[in-house]
Amino acid sequence: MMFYNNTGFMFELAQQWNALVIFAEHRYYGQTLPFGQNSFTPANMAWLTAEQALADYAELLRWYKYVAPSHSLSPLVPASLFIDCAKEMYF
Amino acid sequence: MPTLPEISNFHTLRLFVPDFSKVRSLVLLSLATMKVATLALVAVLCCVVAVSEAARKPHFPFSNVKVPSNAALDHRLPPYSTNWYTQTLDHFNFANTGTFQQRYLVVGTFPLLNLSAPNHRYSDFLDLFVV
Repeated sequence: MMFYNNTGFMFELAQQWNALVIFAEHRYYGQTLPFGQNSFTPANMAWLTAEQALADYAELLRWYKYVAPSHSLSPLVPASLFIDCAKEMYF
Repeated sequence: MPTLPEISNFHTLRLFVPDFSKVRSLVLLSLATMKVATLALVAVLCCVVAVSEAARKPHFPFSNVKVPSNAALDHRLPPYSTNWYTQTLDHFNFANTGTFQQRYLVVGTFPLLNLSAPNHRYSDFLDLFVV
């Protein structure tokens, strides 16, 4: 993934902070296609919104803390690039 | 009582004026003593250098700046595991129970507990970013 290859500084920070790095793919991007090859028809793109994508991250992180209790007390540091920068302001 | 030597404005200014007369005479002397063949060789060399500089690719003023490629960085990146999560399709509509598979990567090569590293977990800096 391009984003993974261009975030070298994040791994340095993760090493300093003893952190776990989780990359969640944005919906309708890459291989995260809700309707497979038919994801980009107008009817199926109704769920491609910033709010839905942000809720994806929230749900995934809550679920991950539930299934990995050793990380349940860890603080979260959201970090992203490009369009996601606007989304971080919601956080 | 010894007095300082007087420095006139003329001499002070002369210090900052480069003396081109010597350079000019040196160039003229070398041109005069050079053979025609040597002059032709110098001219040809100048032309070759000019043409090769013009034909350099990419023709960009900062082409000597080296940008590290991703391939050079890859060996420094830790390995990751690819996972799939059954994500809710519509988070704001309880009537729609559709789901899809969301891909996420986990990079967990770092030690879970490193006592030698400082623990910034509850520092004021991080509290700004805690969700």
